[in-house]
Amino acid sequence: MRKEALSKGTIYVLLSLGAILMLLPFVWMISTSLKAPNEVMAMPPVWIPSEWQFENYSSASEAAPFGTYFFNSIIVTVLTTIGELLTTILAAYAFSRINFHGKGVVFAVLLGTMMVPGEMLLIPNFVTVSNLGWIDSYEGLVIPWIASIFSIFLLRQYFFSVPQELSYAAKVDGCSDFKFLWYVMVPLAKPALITIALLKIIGSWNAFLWPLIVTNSQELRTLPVGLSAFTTEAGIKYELLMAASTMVILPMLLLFFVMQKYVISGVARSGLKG
Amino acid sequence: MKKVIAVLSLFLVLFLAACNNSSGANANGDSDANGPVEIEFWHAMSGPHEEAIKKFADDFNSAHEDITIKPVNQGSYDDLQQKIMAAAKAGNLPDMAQATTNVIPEYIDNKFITSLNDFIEDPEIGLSEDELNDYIEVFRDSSTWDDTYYSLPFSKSTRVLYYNQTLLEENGLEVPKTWDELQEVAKTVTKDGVVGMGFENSYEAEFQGILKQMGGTYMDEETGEPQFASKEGQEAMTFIKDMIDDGIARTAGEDEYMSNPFGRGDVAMYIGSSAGIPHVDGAMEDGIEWSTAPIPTLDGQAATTFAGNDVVIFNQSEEAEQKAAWEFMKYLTSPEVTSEWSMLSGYLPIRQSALDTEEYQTFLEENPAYKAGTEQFDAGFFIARVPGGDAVRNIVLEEMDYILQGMKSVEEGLTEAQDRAKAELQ
Repeated sequence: MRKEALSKGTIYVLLSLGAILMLLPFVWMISTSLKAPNEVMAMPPVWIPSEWQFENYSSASEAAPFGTYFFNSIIVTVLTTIGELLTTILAAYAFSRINFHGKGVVFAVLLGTMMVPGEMLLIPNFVTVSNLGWIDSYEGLVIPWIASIFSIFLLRQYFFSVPQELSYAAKVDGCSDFKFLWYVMVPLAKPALITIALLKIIGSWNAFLWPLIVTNSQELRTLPVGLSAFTTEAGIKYELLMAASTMVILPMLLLFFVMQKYVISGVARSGLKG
Repeated sequence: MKKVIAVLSLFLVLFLAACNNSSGANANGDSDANGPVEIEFWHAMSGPHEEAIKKFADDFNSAHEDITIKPVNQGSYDDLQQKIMAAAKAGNLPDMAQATTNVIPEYIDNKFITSLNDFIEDPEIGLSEDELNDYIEVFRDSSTWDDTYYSLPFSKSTRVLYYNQTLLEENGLEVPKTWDELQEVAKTVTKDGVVGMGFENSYEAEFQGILKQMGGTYMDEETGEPQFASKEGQEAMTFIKDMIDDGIARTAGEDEYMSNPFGRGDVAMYIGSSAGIPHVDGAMEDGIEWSTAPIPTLDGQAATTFAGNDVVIFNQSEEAEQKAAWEFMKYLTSPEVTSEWSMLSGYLPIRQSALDTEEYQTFLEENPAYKAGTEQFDAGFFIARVPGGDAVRNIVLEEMDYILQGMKSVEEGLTEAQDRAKAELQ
């Protein structure tokens, strides 16, 4: 009993240390966002600004049309997430439950594409999107990102864990593949789907290079592109950058707090069954 | 859940269909036959610099009914370069762009840049002999390849010596004019936690300057062969290293930019980009007087690097569009605009006549820190414009770090850097 309490104590100490370590960058970001320029790089570091510069937030939001950027980020994130969920569900079902000619080869080729680094695909993708006439449009921002091999793989493994008997039972009752997928598989795979969606939302919200490359007009740019407004040749305006970053990260933090349960259960459950 | 997804996917389809119509109309700057020519200008300027470019475009547009300039920020210089290469492959380059001079040879090799000679020599829309010579020589030189102009200078800067006036006065010292004097001054003021001299983390520019003053060559532009591990190169590096070893100089290190320790008063002098003047102004603590001076000479032998960005025109556009882009290029580099740009941004004016205007002279009197940059045009040279130059720079900086940390001797480090640079450029 005593021994158990002790080990629990140790665990909490370690967890607290870890939590503090994780929290530090956020604290530093918020503290910097409230500093005057000459305190940002001061030595020794200043943790609590001598005078709180709340106007950093207003000057940061005036530096670029962040309203438009917010709108675009939300549109792109929502559309790519829905798109990816749809393609992933259909593909994962086909690869796990339907027998068709060359299934193994197709799946191996798809997995093989995961080995190509994203940087190498940048120019070919740009050329393709440009031939389709999607430069500087929402299509260019959204459509290249509505399929993910990693998600298909993840969901396929999850689908495998659903007992085959369920589909036999459904077939006996005269249920089509599509109906079985929607009414039985999808509800069962909810934790995995939420995990996929969250990963997508975070990735899409943070994406920088592609939105920058594929758009030309301010009306179509997203938040991470907007953050580059504070980087100049002679230095970075950290206090403004951090103020803007705080505003940009806030929605993601809220999402995490609300969905934390699902993130963890998604990972845990799929791990147990797989 | 199913209904929600169905509704949302309907929304996705409708939305994409809707924006297809709206974006189709204004895609990529192609204009109607009757309307004004629309010119896209890609650049990497942000913040107040971007505002200034927008203003220049607006002014130009209202003066030219038949041309509309659309400036587009494309992130950092690297992002801009990456995007230009991608767009060149896809065949949808903008009409004009900002470009560092070391990437232009790549544009020439891939044949997507317009030679400006035809425009310049055109009796109607060209530049007269006097006008062309009004562009400052070092910039003209860095914009030509074998007598062909491929660019015009735009956002240019040089290295200047920043100094803490208050500190020098307290010690009864003059601003150093030669490296010997600089060493003396640095030695005298290094005390009470103050370090005399500072170098930016990118101090390979200073290495190049001293090397040139000693009569050496950093890189041969014709053959693309790095030559900095010569006897002169080793002397130049030893000079910098000795100052740092003696404790009278330091690099920016963790401070990232020298403007931070200089602003705190921790460093009495440093060499940095003239484009950093507005930034230094913001970083200074109250009560410190400061200004800039030309780069010290080696017993009268002056030499300092000029760097920065030019503007170029691409040949994937129609002739009328290229012509319109040329008009804007002339406007951006006109004496009025370059002097206004200089006063706003801290970049150097690129026309001699811009310097001579009363407005600019008044500006220099009120802002003496801007003077030093314009006083050393004659001593100016530019970094060899070799594709892959950035990679060489990173190699040199890395090996220099080994030298400063004592992990390699000056000779070993420079020779290794030169070998690696050669391999990189092959």
